[in-house]
Amino acid sequence: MDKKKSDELLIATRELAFQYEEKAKRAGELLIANEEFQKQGEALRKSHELFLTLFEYNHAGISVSRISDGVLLNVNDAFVRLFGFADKEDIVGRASRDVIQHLDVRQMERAFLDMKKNGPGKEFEMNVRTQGAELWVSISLMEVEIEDIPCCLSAFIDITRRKKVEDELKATNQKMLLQNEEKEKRTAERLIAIRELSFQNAEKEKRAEERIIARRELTFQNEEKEKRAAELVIANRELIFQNTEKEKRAAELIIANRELAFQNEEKEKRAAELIIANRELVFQSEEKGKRAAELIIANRELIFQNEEKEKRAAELTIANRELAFQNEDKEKRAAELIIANRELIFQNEEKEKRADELVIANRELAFQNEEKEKRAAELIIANRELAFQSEEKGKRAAELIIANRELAFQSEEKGKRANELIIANRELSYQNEEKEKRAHELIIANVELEQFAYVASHDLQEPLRTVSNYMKVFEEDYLNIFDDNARKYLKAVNESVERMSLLIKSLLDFSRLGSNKQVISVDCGHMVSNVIADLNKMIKTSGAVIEIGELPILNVYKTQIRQVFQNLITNAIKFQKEGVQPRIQILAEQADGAWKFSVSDNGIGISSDHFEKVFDIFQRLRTDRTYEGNGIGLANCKKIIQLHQGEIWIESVLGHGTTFYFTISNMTP
Amino acid sequence: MNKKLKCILLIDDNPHDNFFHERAIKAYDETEIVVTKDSGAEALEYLKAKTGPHSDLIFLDINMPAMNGWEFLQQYSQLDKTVREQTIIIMLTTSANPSDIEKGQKNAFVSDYITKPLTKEKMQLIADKYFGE
Repeated sequence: MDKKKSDELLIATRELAFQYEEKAKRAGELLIANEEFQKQGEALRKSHELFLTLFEYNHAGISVSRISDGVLLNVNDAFVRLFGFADKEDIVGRASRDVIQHLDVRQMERAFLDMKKNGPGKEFEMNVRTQGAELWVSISLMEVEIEDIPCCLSAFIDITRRKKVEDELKATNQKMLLQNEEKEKRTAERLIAIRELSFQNAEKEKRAEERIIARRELTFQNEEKEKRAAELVIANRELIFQNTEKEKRAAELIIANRELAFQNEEKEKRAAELIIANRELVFQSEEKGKRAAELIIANRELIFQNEEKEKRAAELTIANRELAFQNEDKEKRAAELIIANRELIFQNEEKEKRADELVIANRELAFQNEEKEKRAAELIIANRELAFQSEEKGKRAAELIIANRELAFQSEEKGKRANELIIANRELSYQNEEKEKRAHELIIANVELEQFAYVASHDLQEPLRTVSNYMKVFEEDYLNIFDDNARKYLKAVNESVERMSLLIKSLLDFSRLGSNKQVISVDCGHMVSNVIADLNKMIKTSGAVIEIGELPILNVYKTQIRQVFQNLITNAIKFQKEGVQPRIQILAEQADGAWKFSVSDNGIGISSDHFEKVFDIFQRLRTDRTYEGNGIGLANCKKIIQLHQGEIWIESVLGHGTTFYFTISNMTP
Repeated sequence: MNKKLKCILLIDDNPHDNFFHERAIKAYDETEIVVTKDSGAEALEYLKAKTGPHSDLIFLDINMPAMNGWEFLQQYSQLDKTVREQTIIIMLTTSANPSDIEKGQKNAFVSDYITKPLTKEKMQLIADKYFGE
């Protein structure tokens, strides 16, 4: 819309400008023509009528004024109308400056001089007033002589509308420029806001990713635990299977034992039978022995009978010899006797044979007995062996039963432990969730706490300032009518207000200590030198001597650690015995992977009762005003050292100086 | 009569602060008229009505009920250009909060940011900086 309007205005302005230029040209031409006329007096007179016509009916206001006093000698109707008059007679004879309000006479004079120098035709613009309204006119001048009086011919063209349009255009342009600036600013702000948002989004995505990773980790751990539980279940099944196997084997062993016991019984039976058979054999042997003895007796009998027969044979021989002499019958009988003898010898031989056979049979029997006895001994040994093996098997079966019970017990235990693990896992994941919740709650609580401390201390400052302001008003307005007491009270109030203000400011600083921090590499020696340079005035006044040992380069929260050094050095100078030159020593040493710093002084010292108390916020040990302080410096130190995962503590003997120790770790930048 | 400033507008809900600040402005004695408004809405009404003299300088508090300083500035930007022309706006507040200070620096209408209380000395500095010869 604005653009369209401004375009239309531009076109209208150009149109108007063109029209006015045309008009001005014509007026200029007229003036030139007029000059021409003047040069040629004769011709002028001839053309006087034409000039008058041009003069009277010209749409530009034309006036003829006397140069000496500016009195208007003649004007045309257009002039009368232009300046808001009713009649020519109201104007002619009056000074131009009276007729045209706000007429800048000096500008007119300058223009006139310029015209005289450079010739006519140069227009200029002027802001004037008519009877009723403000008017912008374009004026062009020309010098003429009328009846030997030097006059000025002035042409006035109304350019008020053009001016107005120009002004509006300017104003519109300015407005647009301003709006454009506003838009650019807002665009820039939006860009910043968008960057901020995209940065926050990126942060949120990072945190979300971290959470996803943590969850995956948990899920992975849970899966691992479940796998282990599953493995345990499989191991249990395996154990149960093994137990079953062992029980089977034990059952088989029992069967095998029974079998063995049965075989043993069988063997024992056979052994018993063998013993019986042996006894039989022994009995048979004894019988054979008896028979052999009987045979031996029978043999001896036979031998004795043989001897008897030989004796009788000898006696017969004798008798024969006696009988030889006697009968042939007797010889026959002798022959029969021989045959009988032979028969007997044969019988004896037979008997000896049988006796030999009996001996052999006996030997055979004795051998068989020995064999049987050997086998019986072997059987006994085998039986013992079997009995031993049975016992062993029994033992082993008992052991297996015990082992099985043990295994079953272990399986149960494992099952219990797997269950416990599952419960412990659930507990752990629940605890993890709880911890995440609490961490989140803590972050929120911290932000809220900082916000609270900030708002609280800010709101406390407000009424205090009002008190302070009214105290100033009091002092300014009424101090001169107060007596000394009243002035003293006023001073006390002022001091308290000032102190309260300082305390609130400290609280504000304390609450904002954690924010806006950045870990960077710091040369502690360099930093301490800077702190000492800053405290130059205080050090000079007190005459303190400060000795600095070799200090490390560490990654720390720079501003905060600097504050720690500043507080400790200030304290060391401040809490000094009167009339004693303060001697301060700042050292550092490596201890347990961290750095241990010490700031020692020879000041008033601190009682061991207060070693902890001094680090509490707004805790001042000295109630008198000898040692100024707001009681927040050491609380700040403690908070800062804790921020660096370190500790701060005191060693001191009352009246013999104090050493502050603190440890800080090299932080990850 | 020829004082450096014709009119100062104080916008603050705290009447004690207004009293004290008006005193400080008068103590400096280079201002013809001091107008106090105890809410942003009243100040906007006053500016729209154009009944008073043009305000050369506006002191604006941030923490105010209903409409705070920033909200006032938003409404102010909608005002007629002639009202806004030739006017310096300075935030006058208790807040030394870095985020508020930054906000002030970013705002096109805010020329400066000072903490309460306003004193004769601070007035002197402001006059020299913005209304010097």
